[in-house]
Amino acid sequence: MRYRAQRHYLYPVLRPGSDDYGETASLLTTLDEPSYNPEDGMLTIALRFDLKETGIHETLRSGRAQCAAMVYCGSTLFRTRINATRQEPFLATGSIPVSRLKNRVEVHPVILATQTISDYSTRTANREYERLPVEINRFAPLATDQPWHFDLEVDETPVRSIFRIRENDSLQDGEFDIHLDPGESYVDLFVNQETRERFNSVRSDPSLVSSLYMSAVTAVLAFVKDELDEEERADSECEWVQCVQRRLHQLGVDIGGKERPGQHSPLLAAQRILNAPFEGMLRDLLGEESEDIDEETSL
Amino acid sequence: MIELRLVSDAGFKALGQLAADEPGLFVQPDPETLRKRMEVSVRDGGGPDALPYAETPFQMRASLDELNRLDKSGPGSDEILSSVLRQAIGDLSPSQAANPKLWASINCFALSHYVPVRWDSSNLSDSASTNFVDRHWLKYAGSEGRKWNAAARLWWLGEMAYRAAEHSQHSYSDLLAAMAGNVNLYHQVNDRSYLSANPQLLAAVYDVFLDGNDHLKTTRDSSDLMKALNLRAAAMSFDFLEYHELRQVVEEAKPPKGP
Repeated sequence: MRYRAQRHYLYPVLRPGSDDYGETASLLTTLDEPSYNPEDGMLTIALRFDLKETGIHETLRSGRAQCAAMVYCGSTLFRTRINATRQEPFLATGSIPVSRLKNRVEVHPVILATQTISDYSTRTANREYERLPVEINRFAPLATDQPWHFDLEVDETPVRSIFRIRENDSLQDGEFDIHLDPGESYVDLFVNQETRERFNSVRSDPSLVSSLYMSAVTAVLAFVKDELDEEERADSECEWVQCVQRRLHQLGVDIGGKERPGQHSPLLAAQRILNAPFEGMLRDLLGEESEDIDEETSL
Repeated sequence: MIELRLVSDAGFKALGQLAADEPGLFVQPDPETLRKRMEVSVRDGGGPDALPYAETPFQMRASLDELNRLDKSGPGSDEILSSVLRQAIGDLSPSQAANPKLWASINCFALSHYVPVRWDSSNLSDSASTNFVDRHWLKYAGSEGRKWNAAARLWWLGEMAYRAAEHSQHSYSDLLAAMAGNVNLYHQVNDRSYLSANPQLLAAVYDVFLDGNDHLKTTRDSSDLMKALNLRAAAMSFDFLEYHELRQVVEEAKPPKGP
């Protein structure tokens, strides 16, 4: 019974993380790098579908289903549908005015029934779907893939900008503590009043990267990894969560999540974000010449 | 044209810090104290190259003085002032509207009387004031900005009414009045951005509301409606449906009227 309770639909839907279909069935999608034409201000999106499943394939061939890309941008409240070609290779290509998009843009791959299918059947579905053939309603999903997303503009906001210094006089001189709340715009770093005044007089000093921001960013990444699942992170409207997510994405750093180990620990990820502060400190101490300094360290 | 100086990244960050330190600065009728404090904060804290303002100012068609004459808190004037603000700001693309620094610049330096009156900051306790200032003056991210950021909310009310009007059976002004005058429904619609980003669905929701379903203005019924639509969206792609089909879906999803 537990097994049955995991079924989301009354019919099999091919999608990541589901065993509605056997291992031989798959939907792989590829999103080309979006291209922008400054002449007409349009951004072109191309999503390719590579389907390996006979029953869904048959519905597509018979014109009863459609591959499509759903494009969504939460910052601009934009949503549109791009239909794929009817014939293989299934390719959804469309152009969108760039003025309608900003920040994170999501592209959701989906295959839908375009009419009621009264006799859907396939040999590769999980045997729990013993009542095949089954009726599938018009515009119901047959298959989905993980959404793709891209940042329309590379966000240059330094991760340090997510922090806000606040006072807590119960702390000793020089101590700092952190408060993380995804409902707030900033991450609060608490120090006592005197420390704060001293900090303000030297806040442009690069050595603060090693002593203050390194541990603070590590704490932030650990929180994001351990306390927010991947869906919460993707859908979060919290500015500091978005900022951290964008930076990780830009750097290709994967800290994993609650349910899956990542390739990089929060400690290592923080060093990548802050451009290797330990290495910088070693170079300073040993009098070695530094290489290019990126934005995160140029305070 | 009226030039509005847009705050830079460093200026925006300084405003965030001032909201934490001295939220009272934001509710003063004269914005010059806040402006000077921000400039000093950027100069002292941001390093020698940090500038408080962006290079290019924002060009407004008219001043926002009419908003600053507001004398009563609450949403009662949102419908009229949304149109006034959109007219004064001029053409703004959704992409430009997604810039939190634009709204912070307007709220802090062009609407210094309007924001504290509209959101009634007179009885604000110290402990709550940082979040209050954050929410209405500075914070802009997705639906939060559309609901709570003072100037952004007014702009988005007009924008959403405009988008819905392209498909609706009702006029732009009727839709704007329905959105501005029924806060609970507007908030519930915004809390499900995946749905309300579809302008045909947005039109269908407000058309059903305007056509004799006044009960949807309550928090409970508007929430029930949007939850029911959310459930249906998992089983059927609304993106493929025409307006009349979406309207039918909304009719079926709406909770019944109470006794």
